[in-house]
Amino acid sequence: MDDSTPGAPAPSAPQYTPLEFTGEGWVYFRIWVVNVALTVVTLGIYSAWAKVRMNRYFYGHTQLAGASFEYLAEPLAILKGRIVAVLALLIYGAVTQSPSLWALIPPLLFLFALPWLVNRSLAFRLANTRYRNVRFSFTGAYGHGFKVHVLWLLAAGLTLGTLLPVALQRQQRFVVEHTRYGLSEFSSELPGGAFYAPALQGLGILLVAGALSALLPAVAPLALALGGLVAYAHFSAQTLNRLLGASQLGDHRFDGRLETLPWAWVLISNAVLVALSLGLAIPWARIRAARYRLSHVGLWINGDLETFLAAEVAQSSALGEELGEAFDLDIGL
Amino acid sequence: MRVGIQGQLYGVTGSRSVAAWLDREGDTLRWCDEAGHALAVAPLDACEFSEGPGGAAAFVTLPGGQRFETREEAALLVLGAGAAGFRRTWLSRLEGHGGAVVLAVLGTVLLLYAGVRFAVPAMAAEVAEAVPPSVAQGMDRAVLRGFDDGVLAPSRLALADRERVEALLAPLIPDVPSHVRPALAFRDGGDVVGANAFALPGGQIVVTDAIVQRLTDAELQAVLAHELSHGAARHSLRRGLQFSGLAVLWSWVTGDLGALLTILPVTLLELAYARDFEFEADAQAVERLVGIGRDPKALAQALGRLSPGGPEGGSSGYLSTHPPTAERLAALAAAVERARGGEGNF
Repeated sequence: MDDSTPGAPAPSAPQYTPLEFTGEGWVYFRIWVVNVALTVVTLGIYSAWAKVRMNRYFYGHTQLAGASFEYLAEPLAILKGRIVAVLALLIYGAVTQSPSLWALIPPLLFLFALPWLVNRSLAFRLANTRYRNVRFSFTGAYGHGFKVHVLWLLAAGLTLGTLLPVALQRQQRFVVEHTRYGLSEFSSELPGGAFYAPALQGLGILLVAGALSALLPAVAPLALALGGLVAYAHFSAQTLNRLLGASQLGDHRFDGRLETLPWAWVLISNAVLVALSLGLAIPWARIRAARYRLSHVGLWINGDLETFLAAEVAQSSALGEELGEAFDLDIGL
Repeated sequence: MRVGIQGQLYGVTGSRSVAAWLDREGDTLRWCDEAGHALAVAPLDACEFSEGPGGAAAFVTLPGGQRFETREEAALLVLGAGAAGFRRTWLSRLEGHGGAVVLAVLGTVLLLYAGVRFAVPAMAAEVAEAVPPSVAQGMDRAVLRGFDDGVLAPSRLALADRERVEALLAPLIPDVPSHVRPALAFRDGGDVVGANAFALPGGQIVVTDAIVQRLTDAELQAVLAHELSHGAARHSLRRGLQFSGLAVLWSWVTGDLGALLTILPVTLLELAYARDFEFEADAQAVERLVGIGRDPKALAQALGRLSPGGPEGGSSGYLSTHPPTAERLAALAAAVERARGGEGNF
């Protein structure tokens, strides 16, 4: 078959190993409904514990090569962050409502806080993720974050969106390149123009939906909603595939194999299920989305995963992540 | 020899692991490799157990920082029985208890219903009452400026027409709480806004040229009474607050689902509140009109004239801020009847 010596540990070819997700709808339903009940009874305070419980379920049911991920965050840290985030949101809302120049200050502050928010959010989440008794961490600095999250976004705006795919590429590459597993750094060779094709294709899908709804006004709302979801599914799946395909941890290359239509089907049927069930199907929707996404992501394991060295990980506060969620930032990959 | 619970034993310094089998001897836990050679030994009481929620992998942390990962949680709990940490948390017992789960479902539905039906409207009314008049009037200016930049143009009504409308409003004002300032603003609504009138958070009433031209004086006064009632009860402030309240309730249920799913149910419920406010303002307008000795049926007439498809028309259903015209007319007739009955008692 090949010229390696029989019996000796041969330098074997990398093995494609997909993530495995073993969560189940009914089991998660029980966890979810207890979470919701306790959150309602405690007027929202329990939501911090609920978040930890949910993440521990999803992380614990995600495995790579037989080993599970673990979520380690402390509910009290999340609660503290959440309280400050809610206060910040209230102040932000009140000041931006006021009919004066003061209203301009919070959005400006927010722009300067954005890189910090993203960095702290990723740092908290990764520091609280463990795999094979080794923690992840995030090392992105404010200056670099400001460049990719604010300056590149401004450049995209000034060019009427022409540079938006480059801005997104810069942001995602920044995230990957500053993620660490123990002492090992992730790397990415994602080229600057990688997101143009998915963006243009997504735009094309939107145009088709737009043309269809112009021709047949009777189906216009349906065509636009479906077109929007398919365009979103296409863009999110293809950009993730490209990002992962260009990313590595040590000698191991990532691989994303999401497909537009199956992923769009998951999103669309989930939306319908949740709406028809008045929210009761949320657990199944989450499980289905996680199962599709995770099982179509994998790692080409070159040899084995035994040689990563652990690092001291500084514990960070949850404030960044909670602020990010309160202001509806979609941080992460 | 392989005995005990199977899993992976991880070291402290990195991701290296060995397949390990865990067994207990008295108060000691012992891990062996496939050949039966000892890998690690630790006192049971010094080991920390962490459960895997809903069937996920469970872990044992050794005193030195080594960790053991296994899928056999049930066997692990039997093995560690008697040790302080080796038991399921109360939370996982709750999740595993069928009755508790049913109770959680019913309790949640009941509490959310009570929140939507009673708590959110009551709290919004309370908070709206506490908003200082100057703040509310500041909001009026900001909202009106927004409309002026968009769909509204300066009014082309003659001064005499404006004075006529002011005179219709004047007798209604003494009945309004002092913190509401029901000033009139005249605007040309063009084709988009059409013949319309609306109340702003601080009580200011915007009327379009078209509505002034289309309605009789009595009908116009009835419409002003309706808008005045919105302002006096701070309906638009309360709508904003109720929306926030609903969004908070819904976020307890969803945690962090996508934006579309987050906003749709909240919007539908908020529109239901908005339709309630229309009925309320109609009923109060009837009382105000009767209070100054006018015929309250003018409001029904105005409604019939403004509704594009006659009394049967008007957008209906769950996506509308206003109830169907036919329902409003029926409620109005009842309100007029009540007001008449009240008069009769004097």
